[in-house]
Amino acid sequence: MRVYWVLPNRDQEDDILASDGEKTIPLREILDPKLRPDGFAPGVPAELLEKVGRKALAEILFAQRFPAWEADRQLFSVSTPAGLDSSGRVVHLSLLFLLEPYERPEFELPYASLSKEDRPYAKALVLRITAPKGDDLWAQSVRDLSELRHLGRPATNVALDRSVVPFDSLYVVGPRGLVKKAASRRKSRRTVIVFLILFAVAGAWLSLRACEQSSRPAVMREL
Amino acid sequence: MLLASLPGTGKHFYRLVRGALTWWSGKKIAVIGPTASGKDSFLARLQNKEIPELHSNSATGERIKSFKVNLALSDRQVIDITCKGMVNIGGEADYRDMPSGWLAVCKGADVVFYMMTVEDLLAKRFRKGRRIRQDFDWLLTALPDLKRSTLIHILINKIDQRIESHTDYGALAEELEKGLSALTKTVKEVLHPYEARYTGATLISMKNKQIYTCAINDALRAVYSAFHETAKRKKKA
Repeated sequence: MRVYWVLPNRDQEDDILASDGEKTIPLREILDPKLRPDGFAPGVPAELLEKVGRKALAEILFAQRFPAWEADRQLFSVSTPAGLDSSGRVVHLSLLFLLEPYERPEFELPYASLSKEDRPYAKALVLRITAPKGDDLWAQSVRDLSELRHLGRPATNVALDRSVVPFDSLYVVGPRGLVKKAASRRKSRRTVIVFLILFAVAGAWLSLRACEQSSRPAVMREL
Repeated sequence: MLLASLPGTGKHFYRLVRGALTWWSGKKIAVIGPTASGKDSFLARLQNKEIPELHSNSATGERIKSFKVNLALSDRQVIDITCKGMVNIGGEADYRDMPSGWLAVCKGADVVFYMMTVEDLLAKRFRKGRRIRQDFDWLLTALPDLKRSTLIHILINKIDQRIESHTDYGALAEELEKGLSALTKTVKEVLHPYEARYTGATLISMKNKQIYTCAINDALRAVYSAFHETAKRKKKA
């Protein structure tokens, strides 16, 4: 397993920089842009920032997992907004894992050598993901993605509508915040079942009424 | 004066406007350029929206559905441009060189707008080895994969900042003129044998709406004018 910090581009440089916890190097030296899987991007998609809004920006954790990226090796990244650049734009900090097929990411990488501005975001990111299970659904969604056993195609912790590449995803951002997809699917399945029962009851009631009405003239005739 | 990129008045101008109006209708555009050159702001302006409050360094390629752009060339003449999806992408060189990066953005586009800043122009970042030059080198390698008719136009953003910080406008105009001619020379050299696809460069401001409106109309006319000239030359040949 190789782990790197992908650093926020605060100074609007041409290259994205990364750190192995000690020294800083251009990301392209670790991961050749031409070999990066389609849809891979260290950072939080703009659509998530828009959906979540400025107030809850710090809560966002966006993770991507690419199984069978290079032969059977995997690529995993988790990103968080990390303040603003010199033009006031939101920049991002990511943890990038290059994994062997059997490996799972371990969210531990020193951040002491990062800049003073980046360190608090790195610390918060590690603390959130390694914290015991709690109320932090964003962190839970990252852990869930990293622990998934069978993954056929690239996946993200949270669904994206505007992504160029289709991803499987575990959670969605709705009006009430982050929701587990399975739960929302279960909810919609429950709604369908209730509707079906209602239809069945209504159908039975209507057919009973139809039977009653069709048998009434016969009774009248007999009388 | 700084924004005039196309000479012409009277009948010629009227014909040009009419021609541009027809030619631009339904065209697909792509926007690329280095980080913080104003790509997102340009897209917002094209859609007649304000520059978004929550602005981000576009880290991922995101599909933006096709949308219609209505650009007024004059009081009564409006151009409809269909903007094609997947335009929101980072400006770092990493995104340029990724398979799903700039090339994917430009494929299928009729016109590629390359965005840079006045700072890039005056600091001559189009000289060999520097970022803008690297982008032009990339364009040369990408052009065979684009549509045969794809045209390239350069938008030089943030002119408002220069105007605000200068008092001697004559000197500024001279400085810009020198920069523009050096840029044109470089682009034509780098893009050879595709130099005919280059339609020129326009100074623009995404922040200042008034400058934007004038400059974008100049740029649209300049693109059409270059197309028209090439078509005429081909016909003669």
